[in-house]
Amino acid sequence: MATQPRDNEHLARLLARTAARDHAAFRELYELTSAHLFGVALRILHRNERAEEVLQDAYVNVWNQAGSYAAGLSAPMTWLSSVVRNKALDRLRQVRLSDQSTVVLVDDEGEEFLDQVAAAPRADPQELLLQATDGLRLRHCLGTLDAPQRQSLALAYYDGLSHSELAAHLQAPLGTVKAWIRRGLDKLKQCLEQPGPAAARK
Amino acid sequence: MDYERSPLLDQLAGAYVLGTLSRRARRRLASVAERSPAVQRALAQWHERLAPLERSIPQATPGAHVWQRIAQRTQPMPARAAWWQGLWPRLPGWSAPALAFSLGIVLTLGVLHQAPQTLGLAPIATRSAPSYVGLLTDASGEPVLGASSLRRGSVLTVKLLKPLVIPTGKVAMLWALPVDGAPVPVGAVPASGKVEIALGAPSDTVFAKVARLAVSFEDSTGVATPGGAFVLSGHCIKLW
Repeated sequence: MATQPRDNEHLARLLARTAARDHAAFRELYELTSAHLFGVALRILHRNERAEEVLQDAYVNVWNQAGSYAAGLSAPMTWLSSVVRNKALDRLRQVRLSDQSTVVLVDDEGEEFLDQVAAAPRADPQELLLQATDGLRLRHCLGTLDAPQRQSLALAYYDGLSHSELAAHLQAPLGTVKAWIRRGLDKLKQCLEQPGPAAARK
Repeated sequence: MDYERSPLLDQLAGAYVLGTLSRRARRRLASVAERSPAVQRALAQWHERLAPLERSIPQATPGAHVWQRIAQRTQPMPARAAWWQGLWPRLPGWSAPALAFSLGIVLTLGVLHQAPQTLGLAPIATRSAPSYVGLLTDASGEPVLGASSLRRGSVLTVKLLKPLVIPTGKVAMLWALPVDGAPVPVGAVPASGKVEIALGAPSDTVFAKVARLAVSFEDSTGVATPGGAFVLSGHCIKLW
């Protein structure tokens, strides 16, 4: 993932040239970022086809709205992944809604099989949380959360579970789950904003 | 109520980015954000806070058709007759080969997709299409070599699209270039025609992490690392 400052500068330049309708720069931006962003979409949506549709829409959006990228607000990669993540989550909500309403009609062994295949090698969200934050200040801050808070954050972030889906998954009342998420995010934010111990800042 | 100063805004923005909001709530917040810089800022801050969590999500290569479709929807097309002719002179020198390469790969993949046997890259009797495909171009961006292997296949089929001029006393060696390691020798390629190179392991094992393929001229086929410069190179793409 391109998060080094030099990479960020390069990506920001490519975004600026994309905003100026430079299609070659846009292509390079795609080459550099699509594997990471496709991974993000695939993680949330499971299925190749859906993730590819979301990726396609996201890059068309980027082409049309590259000018609205504000370098002061976020790193280029963060901005790009926010476009993909938002679209993937929107799509997921839409899919789940239609899956629910067509549950009787869908009787396709092939589809189920594909779902199983897609689901098989997936890493556990909590494991991903640990891997992602290794050596980061975020790791230290996640450590200040209670276990249920941390678990619900991981499930929401990596699997796109909504409040009500989390409640079903964790077999806890909706209000409790909402409170875990709210307090978890609150603590995380406060911790990240504190000066904090130097050792954990890396 | 001044919602822009409310702590509720921050909570909603956090839940939006985390992904826990319902479809309706997501839509409403997104439409409010369009008009409110404060909401945009709150969302951007949460994206920035949580972005490191993405580091552990495995990367994946989207199908080549994804870029084709994006290009179709974004490429400026001034004149329908020959839009690419107008494009050529305006491009900086380095990008003409790059564009030729992209066009080449797009066209080739299109052809392969329609009829994999066209290039002799897949046996006609085989129902599944090639799953790893590489199109190697020379320094001028001209496609010279096509390579493909079926998923879990044990053979890499290499076809020369135009004759390769191999210096006397040298052999042309094909290398797999993994994203995170040293080049791995695949085998010798002929100056023209087609060859099937036996792989030491199933193609998924050999090419899983290979981003590019390249050809160099070497003194013998036994070399473990490329001694010469790469005369041909191209992306290696996993398909279907």
